[in-house]
Amino acid sequence: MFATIFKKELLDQLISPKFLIVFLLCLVLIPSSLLMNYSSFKSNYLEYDAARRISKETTTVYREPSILSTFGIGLESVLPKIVSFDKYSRDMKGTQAQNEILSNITGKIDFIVIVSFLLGLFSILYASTLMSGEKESGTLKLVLSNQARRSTFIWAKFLGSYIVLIIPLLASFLIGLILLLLENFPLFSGENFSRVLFLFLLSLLYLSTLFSLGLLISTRTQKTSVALLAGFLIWIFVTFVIPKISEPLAALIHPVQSEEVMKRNRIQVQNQIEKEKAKVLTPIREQFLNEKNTSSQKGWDWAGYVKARGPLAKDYEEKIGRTLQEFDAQYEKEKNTALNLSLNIARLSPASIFTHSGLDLCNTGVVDRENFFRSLQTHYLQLFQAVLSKRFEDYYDFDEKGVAHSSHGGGGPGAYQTTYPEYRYQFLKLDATLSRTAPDLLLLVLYNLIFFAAAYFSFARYDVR
Amino acid sequence: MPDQKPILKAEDLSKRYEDGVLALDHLNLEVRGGEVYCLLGANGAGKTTTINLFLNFIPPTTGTCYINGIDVTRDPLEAKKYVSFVSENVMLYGNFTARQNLDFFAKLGGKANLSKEAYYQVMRRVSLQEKAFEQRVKNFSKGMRQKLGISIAIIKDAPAILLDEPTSGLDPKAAEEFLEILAELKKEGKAILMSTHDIFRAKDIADRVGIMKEGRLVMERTREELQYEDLVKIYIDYMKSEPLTV
Repeated sequence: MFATIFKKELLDQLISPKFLIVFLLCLVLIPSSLLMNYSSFKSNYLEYDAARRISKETTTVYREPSILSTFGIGLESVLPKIVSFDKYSRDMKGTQAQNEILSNITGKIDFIVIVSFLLGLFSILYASTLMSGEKESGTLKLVLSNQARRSTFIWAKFLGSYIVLIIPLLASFLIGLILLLLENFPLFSGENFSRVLFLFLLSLLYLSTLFSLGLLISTRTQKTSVALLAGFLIWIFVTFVIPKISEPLAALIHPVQSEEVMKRNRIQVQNQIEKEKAKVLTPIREQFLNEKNTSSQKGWDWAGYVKARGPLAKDYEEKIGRTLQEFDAQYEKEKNTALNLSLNIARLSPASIFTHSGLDLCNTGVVDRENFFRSLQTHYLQLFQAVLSKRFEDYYDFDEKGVAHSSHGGGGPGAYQTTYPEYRYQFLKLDATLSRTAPDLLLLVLYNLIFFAAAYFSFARYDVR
Repeated sequence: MPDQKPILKAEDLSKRYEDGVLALDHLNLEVRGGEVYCLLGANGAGKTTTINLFLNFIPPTTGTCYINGIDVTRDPLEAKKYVSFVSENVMLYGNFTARQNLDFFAKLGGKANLSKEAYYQVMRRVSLQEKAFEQRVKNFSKGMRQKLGISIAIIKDAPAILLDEPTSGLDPKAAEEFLEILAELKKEGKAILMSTHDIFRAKDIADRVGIMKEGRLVMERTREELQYEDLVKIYIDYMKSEPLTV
């Protein structure tokens, strides 16, 4: 009985026009997006490689683009390409977003976006007519007047239709991979293949979750028009409303000051200590850095100044370093709290879970952003130890607003006879990514089970009238 | 003549829906092999509910349905072996051809591996045009779909057939052809329970007619009794009478 209904469902879906539409759309969009994004990656990588080769022995580092951004761009276009460190701060610039203005207006397309939005929509709409269509046409009565169990019927229809939905995805994904291989994409290098495979399996899980949701809609509705409308509204809610409101909502619940305000406050805190330092150093400055050569002042003696300022400035410099680190850590903690809150709100939507987990698998998600900034912090500490701690900048002549009008800076002893620590961004290993995304994957499985169980029991209890 | 064994039997059958509506009120009914029983009544009288209960589409509030002696509620799958169903508006699967639809429902009805010719024979029997056999059903007229619906019932070859207003919306010729097929099935010894609004055709084909009102079977007449009575007048009198719930 299962085989009969399953085969009928497969055939019925395969010869329907909607299958052809989905197939053509997937065939056009998936391979072309993979090729376009790989091309974009290659140009970014060339840029990165050239910059990295030229600028050795500096306090500037370059972020390596993720090759798996071919499948999911995510934060790749938002994270900085270049980070320059100085003693107490870092300057980040060169986001890809600045070079791709129109793409940022219209939104970039990649495999994750196609699966999340387009196939997600088809998934819900496909499934939402499964039972409502049978009810509306009266075929449900005819089928159930025979020896078909309801459980057999719902399972066979679910699997038959789901497989038909997956065929366009599988075919176009394989074609896309073949085209990428022809373009020398290193699919079998490192963890690439495993990550791509996991991404594909995640896509299947996500689509089956939305399929179960659609099935639930179809068991609760009598007419296909109502089911389609309900499916469309739920799709909007799941793929747009929840993901889009999660961040503003988190900001309302847990407000965090903007980066600009934080920077201003940071400078104020630094200047406060710099002023105290200036008070202590002013006699030395007057003694060594004076154009006039008198009995009490020795004219311009930079070496004497550097030597004399060292012991006096040390405590203040340590205080600045410590205070700013605490300041930054506090700000980062606040931001992470808001981010985690926003991620938790977004977890109400299977589409968000899929997008975040998928991007993590592509090394372009939130987990990799954290990893990148952690690596910057590690590098900063090494750089500070080797280079930055030996440099100084003394500020003088503060006005009423606390702004310094002159400064003396340069390298202390040994500042220029050192080896710069090398920076090379290490992407997260697959096992680390999986352990971070495991709760999200389990949540997706749970949603799937809940939706399917609800659909199942709803259909089992349905009064066929 | 119908034999004495009831193939379809309703015993003290009632159905009250969750919204409180009493759709069927203590119905007792028997249909024997070779007998056509027509249920007449206004919309909402309980005709379709009766058929739905026989098919276990809905559970009864009280009472029992039997098909071929099997309690439908206790063993619905076994009971459904012995019954075919034709609905008011047979839509079928529009993307499939007539033969593909027939093949699918034949398999559901336990008739696997029938030859193409076997399907064609059944469709010829119900006078479906030859050229329609391999055409997609979505282009069929209602009459053609009803013929295909009765083909599905025929191919299952069950001893009981339930029909829910099968001639509703059919043109007179198609309705006449449909009833001729039913007459043949009756001769083959099938127990036929049909709900209908068509009093004239009911009088023509039925061995017994029951009139339902507000969920109750308020009148039952045999073919012999109806020779001396005007069924139309009886029906209208019952419809005009005071509501039973007052």
